[in-house]
Amino acid sequence: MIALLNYLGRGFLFLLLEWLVISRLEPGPGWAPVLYPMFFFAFPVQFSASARIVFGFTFGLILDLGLGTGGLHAAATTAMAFVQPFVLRYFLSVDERENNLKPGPKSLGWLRYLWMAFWLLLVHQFFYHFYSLFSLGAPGMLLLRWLGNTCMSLALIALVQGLFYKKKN
Amino acid sequence: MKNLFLILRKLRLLWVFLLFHGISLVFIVRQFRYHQTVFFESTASITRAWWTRTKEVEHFLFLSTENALLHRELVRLRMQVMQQELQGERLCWTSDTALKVPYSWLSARLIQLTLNQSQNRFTLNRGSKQGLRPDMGVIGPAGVVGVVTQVSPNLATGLTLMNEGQGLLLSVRLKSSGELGNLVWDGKSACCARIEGLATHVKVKPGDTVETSGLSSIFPRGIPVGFILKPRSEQDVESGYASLRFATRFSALDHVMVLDYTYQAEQDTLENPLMP
Repeated sequence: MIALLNYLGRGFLFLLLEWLVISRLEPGPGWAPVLYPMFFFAFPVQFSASARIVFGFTFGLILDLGLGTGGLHAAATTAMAFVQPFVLRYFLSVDERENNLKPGPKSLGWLRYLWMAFWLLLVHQFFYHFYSLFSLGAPGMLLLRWLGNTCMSLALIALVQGLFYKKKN
Repeated sequence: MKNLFLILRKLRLLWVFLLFHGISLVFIVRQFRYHQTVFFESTASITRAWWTRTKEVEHFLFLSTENALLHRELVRLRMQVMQQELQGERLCWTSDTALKVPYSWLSARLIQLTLNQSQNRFTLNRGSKQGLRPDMGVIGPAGVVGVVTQVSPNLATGLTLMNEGQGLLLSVRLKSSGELGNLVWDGKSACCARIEGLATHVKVKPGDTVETSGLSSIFPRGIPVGFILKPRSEQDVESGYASLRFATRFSALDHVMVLDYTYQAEQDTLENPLMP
């Protein structure tokens, strides 16, 4: 119960961060880096896959309601939550999965963590920008936004994780 | 059924994902006007493509019915053409019967056909109950097919043009010059035959039409039999031969028309007065 409340509190914090800070960064048109996926990366490995999707959808939809983005974040987060168990299965050993590991730079190491985050962000950003453009007429634009925002989001997550990482040590 | 449930259960994660992803898409489309336009245009084009495909399949499935209807229409039009030709030819005649078409057509379908025998035969899905009798000519969409030889109440059999020997002797003529000859099949090829009895002076060109001469009560004049295959060699000229390719593609034959000569009995009695 305490763990659940802890997660809900963290989730609310990330929502506030997105609403009040990240969404106002606006580095340029079409640039929308995100930080909140790192909240989902930290879910324990044995967290139910279906619950992950439901949680991702709810979180994304609340974020969309605040930002007026329809269901863009909900769609992207749902897709990311769907592929997350498969990505984790690829990145984690059987022992790590059985020990219900919480993926983070400390438990996985920086390289493995960022590599895992990169793939999940790729999925998230693809759906976000594909639905945002909603057209196959400009594949170059889609590719640029997709990869650019993935790298920018990854850098943002690495920065925040680095700050907390230093504090913990 | 049990296996289906097991498969559905195995894929439950996918269903959950598709459900929530779908809901998200609905929210996206409802929120933005551009997305609404693109979505409804796309669904309209998908629906259009789907209906086009469905209609194509539907047309294909009903093709046989349409084919039968077209065949019936073809029979009617042929009758009409013949009536008009006859009116043009015999305008000076005063008798009413002169303007009457001496042939009528019956539509039929091939239910059996041999192509690799020395005496090739066909079977039709019509018989004496439908008005068929021996010595009626059979023509296909492209030209002459053969002659009915035997009939039962509901079926009829006959000889095709591909008959060696004296099974079927058809009087033909060259459309360009009107020269007469007889059609003979040598049993070598399913597509070709030869004309016998052509005069030595007759010159033929490849592609010349060979048609029925009208010198029998079986076929009227002018129904295509085939086309000249090649120029006559010296040997052909001496023998009175010319090679011909059949107008009818026997291997692709389905619907045919059976010719009913109205005055056949009268003509037979007149030409053979001693016959009963």
